[in-house]
Amino acid sequence: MLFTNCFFHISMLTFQLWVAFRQVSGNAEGDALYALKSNLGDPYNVLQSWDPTLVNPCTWYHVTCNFENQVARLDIGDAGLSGQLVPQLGELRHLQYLEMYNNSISGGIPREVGKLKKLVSLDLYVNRLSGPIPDTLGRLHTLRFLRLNNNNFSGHIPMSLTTINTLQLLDLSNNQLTGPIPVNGSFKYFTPISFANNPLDPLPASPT
Amino acid sequence: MGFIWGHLLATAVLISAAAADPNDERCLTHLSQSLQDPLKNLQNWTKDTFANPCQGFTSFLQGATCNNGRIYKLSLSNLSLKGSISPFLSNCTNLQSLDLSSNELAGPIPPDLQYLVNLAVLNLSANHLSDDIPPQLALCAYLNVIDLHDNQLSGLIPQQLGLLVRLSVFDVSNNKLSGPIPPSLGNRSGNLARFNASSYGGNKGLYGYPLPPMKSNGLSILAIVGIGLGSGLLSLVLSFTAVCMWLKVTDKKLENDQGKITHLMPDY
Repeated sequence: MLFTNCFFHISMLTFQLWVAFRQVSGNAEGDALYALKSNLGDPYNVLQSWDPTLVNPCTWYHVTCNFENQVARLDIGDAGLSGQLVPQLGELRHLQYLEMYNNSISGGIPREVGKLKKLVSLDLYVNRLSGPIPDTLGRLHTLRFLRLNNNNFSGHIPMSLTTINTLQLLDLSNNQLTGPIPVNGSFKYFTPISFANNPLDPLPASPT
Repeated sequence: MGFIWGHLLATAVLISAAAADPNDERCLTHLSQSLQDPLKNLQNWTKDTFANPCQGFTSFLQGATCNNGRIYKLSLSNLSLKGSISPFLSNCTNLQSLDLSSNELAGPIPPDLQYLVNLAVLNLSANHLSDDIPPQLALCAYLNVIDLHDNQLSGLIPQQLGLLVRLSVFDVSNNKLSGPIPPSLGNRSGNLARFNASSYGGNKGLYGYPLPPMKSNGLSILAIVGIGLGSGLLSLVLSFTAVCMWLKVTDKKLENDQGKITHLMPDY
């Protein structure tokens, strides 16, 4: 009796250690995405294929990897998702496209998103995001498309964004942003459409 | 009562005349009519696509880029397009970048482009565009780039373009422009971007800073001095030769005369 009890406990412990070990030595990017999944509401089971026991997340739906099995794209727009973003997004160091538009995601943009040095497109438009636009986004020096329109962002537009020379399309319209509209650096190319429907300070009147 | 209605109508007409209707469909329909596409390069440019050119953020129209259901970029470069630029292009009011470069477009640059208030980049270079550069372009306050090089544009460069504070690229080289380069563009001060002579070259009648001073009609100073000295020297040589010859002639005559006298003189 005592023997079977002991055996049971030891095997359970071994099993737990094995599971824990598997998770610890598991894929860091998969873990990051799984942390995201855990923080999102997913009524349509769009993230059903996201299985953290797999060796990497490259076979998960809506996740695209590059040739080295590193996550390059996350396409979960139009997915009915709710909940909030997680700081672990910053661990996806090779991410180029972060597409999470047209959902009901709330909360803020984690500052860690500024770590995504290869990001080309950041599309969080049409959600319920709030809080400030983190100035760490100014570190995204390969960013071409930044669309945060139709949310509830507040505070000032960070000046650091004007240092992103690759920026082709900027849409911050339909938010609660205040303060001045930057007009230097890459922002020289952006016109009132990019900033419409915000309580921002108006741009100087056009010369006649 | 009719008077009041008349006034209201007039006001309405005036207000509508001050801006173009945001209407991408109208813009594209008219543009496709004014352009000719002999090599059938404009894929999907059909009536059906014009009605719905932007499916949210993507476009089916070749050369068009959309955002928020509106066209914001039109790139139709190097497609052997002929015809002209329709003034109704102004209905694409969200347009930020227009590139029609390297085609065979003719006719004028429509002043209606003034209604593209969000235009930041205008590239119409390497076409056959003619007539004046419309000063109304200065109403596109956010223009960063005006590239009109290699066309047949004539007349003066409008000084109003110097008002564009964001202008950092200005190229009107290789056209038929004439007159002085307005100081508001040629001799800018403060934080405004400057343009060097390469922006203006290839325009025969164009002059002023930063182009080098115009050569005088006729000979340069060096040539005048050279000719003066040369002719002076030549006349000197000629007169010297003439005098020499005259002296020789008179000498010979004297000799002849002397000879005659000698003949006449009796021998002793």
